[in-house]
Amino acid sequence: MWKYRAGLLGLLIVLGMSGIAVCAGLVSPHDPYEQDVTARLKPPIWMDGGSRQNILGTDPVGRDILTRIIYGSRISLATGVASVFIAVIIGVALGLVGGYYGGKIDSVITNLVNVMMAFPFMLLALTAVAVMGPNFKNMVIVLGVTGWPIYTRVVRAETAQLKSLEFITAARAIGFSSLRIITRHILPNLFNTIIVTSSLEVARMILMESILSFLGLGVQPPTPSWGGMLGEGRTYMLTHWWLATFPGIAIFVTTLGINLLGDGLRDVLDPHQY
Amino acid sequence: MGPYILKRLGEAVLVCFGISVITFLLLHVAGDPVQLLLSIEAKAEDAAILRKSLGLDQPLYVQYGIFLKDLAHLDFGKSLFIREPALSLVLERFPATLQLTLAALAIALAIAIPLGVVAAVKRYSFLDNLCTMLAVSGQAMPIFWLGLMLIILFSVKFHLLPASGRGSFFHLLMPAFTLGASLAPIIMRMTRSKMLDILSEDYIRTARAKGLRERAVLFRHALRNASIPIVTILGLQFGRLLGGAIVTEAVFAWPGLGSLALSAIRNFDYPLAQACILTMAGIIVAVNLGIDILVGALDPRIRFD
Repeated sequence: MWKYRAGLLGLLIVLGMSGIAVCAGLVSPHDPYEQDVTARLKPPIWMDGGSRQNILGTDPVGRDILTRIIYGSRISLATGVASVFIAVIIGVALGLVGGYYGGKIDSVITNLVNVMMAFPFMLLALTAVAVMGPNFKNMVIVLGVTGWPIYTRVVRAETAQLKSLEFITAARAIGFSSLRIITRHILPNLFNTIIVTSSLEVARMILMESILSFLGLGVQPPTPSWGGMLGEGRTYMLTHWWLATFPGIAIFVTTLGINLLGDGLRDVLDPHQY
Repeated sequence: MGPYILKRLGEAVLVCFGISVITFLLLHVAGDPVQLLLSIEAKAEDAAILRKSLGLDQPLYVQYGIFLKDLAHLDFGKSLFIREPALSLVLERFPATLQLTLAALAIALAIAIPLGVVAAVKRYSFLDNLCTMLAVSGQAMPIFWLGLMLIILFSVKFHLLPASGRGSFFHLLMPAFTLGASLAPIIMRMTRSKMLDILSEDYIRTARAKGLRERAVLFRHALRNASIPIVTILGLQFGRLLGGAIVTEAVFAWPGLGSLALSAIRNFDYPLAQACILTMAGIIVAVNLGIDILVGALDPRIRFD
């Protein structure tokens, strides 16, 4: 029961964050790019010198931190969802082909997965983004194109298992084409696995985005992104702790929510695993 | 055992070959090193000269051939900025990363294994829920943020630990804990789930029925059997550990392979970046090969799988 409640909490967090991201313009108190040199590095509201206008304080050029965190949610969620979407399409397609046809093509795909898995994912993503040019589009493409092997592994194993079941033999005996069997009979049986895996992957991709932006190889300033804000805040860590603290909390809460939701989905959709 | 080792070795060689292809394509095809190295105002003639001096004017397959030949001689070329052989720079930094990852691994195991065992033994108890919550939170924690918070707490506020650099044992504590904390949740969840599987096995019931003490049942019978899948998972997570080391080293200015790789990538120092990527990937392949062979030796069932 505890797990379901945790999953529900995850769902609430995810819905809340998505709501904030969609309505960023309505809920944020300021303009995320608006600089105010007279209000530089203001502390949060509860500290001496804090004001009601900047609840979480301001950054070195006087921009409102809360506003930038709210707008930053757009980058994080968009990166997470878009890169997972790309990875799912590549990964599931390869997994289906490998698992269904087997033989040489399967061994090529399996070896490709092994190669990708042996690569330090972080290093691969960092290098690819640096080479292609650090911006939002390239980051999403890189995360998507490097994040597919996990789906191929899961989908390939399950497809190979499903293939030997009677309903697939029956479908073949009726004379259905391979394409029809894969798309109409095998794929729907894999939806649960794909949904659970990809929900957890969204969280991982959000973390990856924040790392890339933190290291200066992701979304470029002045566009507000949580990782980028943390990178900027790092310079002021010794004197102004809030700059690096609040964006991190935003990343933590969001990925926690998505992970809780993903775990909850697994319990509901795939109970035999536990 | 012989054929099994040969098979795994063959797979490892294949993976290394694949890695060399991807690294080469990434650095030579996805981006043009010459363009990345020169400023925008550079003349076309200068670009041509640089291209020729780096051997980048050759057809791609020739370049890859030369790259492979050099690789076979462990010659990664010279760093474009530091002007030293890339391999010697990598080897110079390697001990720092090894120290960091081993310390992180030790911390992760020291946290995760006891918690995983307790969570499995006291299934669905308050303690189990607490451990699960800790693991879920740990997985959601951005590793670099944890590092920054530790610095704010232990260096800035309490002045207990040095914020950056390498030297004494105290320099190692925060980076190792940060990196270890990123790995611990996965090991903990794996330990819990494997222990749960094993604790419901017949031989555990037999061990209990013959009157063994619970401690002996848990540690001598259950945990020892759970250790094989845990070690396998460790191998699979080794890439994540090295990836985490890049970020941890950046946060704590730890002079290891990760920070070297990062600066090479940032400066488009592609021979050095190449050396870093291939070394890290090579380590991951070697660790997994070692674990596969070890596990195969410990559990004969795996050899015939």
